[in-house]
Amino acid sequence: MSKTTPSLSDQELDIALGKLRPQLQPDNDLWPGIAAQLPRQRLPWWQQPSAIAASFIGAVLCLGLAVVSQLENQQLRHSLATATMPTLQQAPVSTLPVAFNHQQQATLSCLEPNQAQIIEQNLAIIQSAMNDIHMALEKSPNNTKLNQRLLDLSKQQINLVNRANTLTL
Amino acid sequence: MDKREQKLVKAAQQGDTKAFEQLYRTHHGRVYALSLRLCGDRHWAEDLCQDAFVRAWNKLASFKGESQFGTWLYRVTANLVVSNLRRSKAKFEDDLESLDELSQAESHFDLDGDIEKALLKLPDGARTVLVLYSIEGYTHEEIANTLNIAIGTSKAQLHRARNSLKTFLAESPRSIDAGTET
Repeated sequence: MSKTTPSLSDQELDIALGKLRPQLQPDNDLWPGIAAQLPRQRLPWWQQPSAIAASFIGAVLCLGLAVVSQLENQQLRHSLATATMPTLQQAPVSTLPVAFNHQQQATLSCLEPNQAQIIEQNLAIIQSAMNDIHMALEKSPNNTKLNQRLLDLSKQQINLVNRANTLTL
Repeated sequence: MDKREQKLVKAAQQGDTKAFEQLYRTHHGRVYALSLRLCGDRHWAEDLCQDAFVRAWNKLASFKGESQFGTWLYRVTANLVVSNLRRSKAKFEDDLESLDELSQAESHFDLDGDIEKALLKLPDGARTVLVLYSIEGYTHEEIANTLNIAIGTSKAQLHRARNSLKTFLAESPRSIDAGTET
């Protein structure tokens, strides 16, 4: 049955408005349109799967490299420390430079590349120091400390090559 | 805000669109209803509803959880719709003398209830104030700030809107109760 509401008060009207459905359904699902407009926000790098995988692989590789390197260094140090003194000590003093050079080249050519590199680096350091002392000795050839130091360096050089030689055995 | 919604908001703030979709599923009905009641056009309301969620996504970082997410979202929606109405209509303080012409127009909406239909026939300014005040619970001061009008104008618009609505309903063949049944 119909009826009119000519004398509706403001309060009654507000009550009627309050009874309106709070939700209305659109005809279409609006989400696809919304999703298409959402700008892609980059996740923090630590939440990206590719970054996590890359970090993990990197960590494993670094760890492996560190372990291998440590083992090689230990082996090399152990070998050098336990090396015996072979032929050079028995060579006549006059033939020492030639014999040493031959010994050095032969030794380095027989070593693994990474081992040869380490030996060469150490030999270069010793040689550099020896060169400096030679230059200083040109100015003061009778300086006993310089001569003594040169002698020590020569011994170290020979000893290093001699010990490296044992790695090839 | 319940914990589930808190988690969804936090995930959405970190860029999780799936979480934001869940928020959309929860709130889209009310956002759409608010958009429709404010703008009065179903298709436009769909566009505004979409824009409201996109804007909400872009402003999510500014939501600090001090209020309900829904409350914040409806504010975002209301502001968006009002600014769109302002741009499209260029004025809010419309003359309710045009109400007679509008009331004669055949409504193409198929909403339940005479009040809903009557709302859509109100001029934009009057309808906006009525929806914000009587349905969304805004104060006149908040309406004035949102619409950038004087508080007195808001009160006047509400008074006019109510009278117009009463007139519509008085002429309606159905009762208020029937109109609000769902």
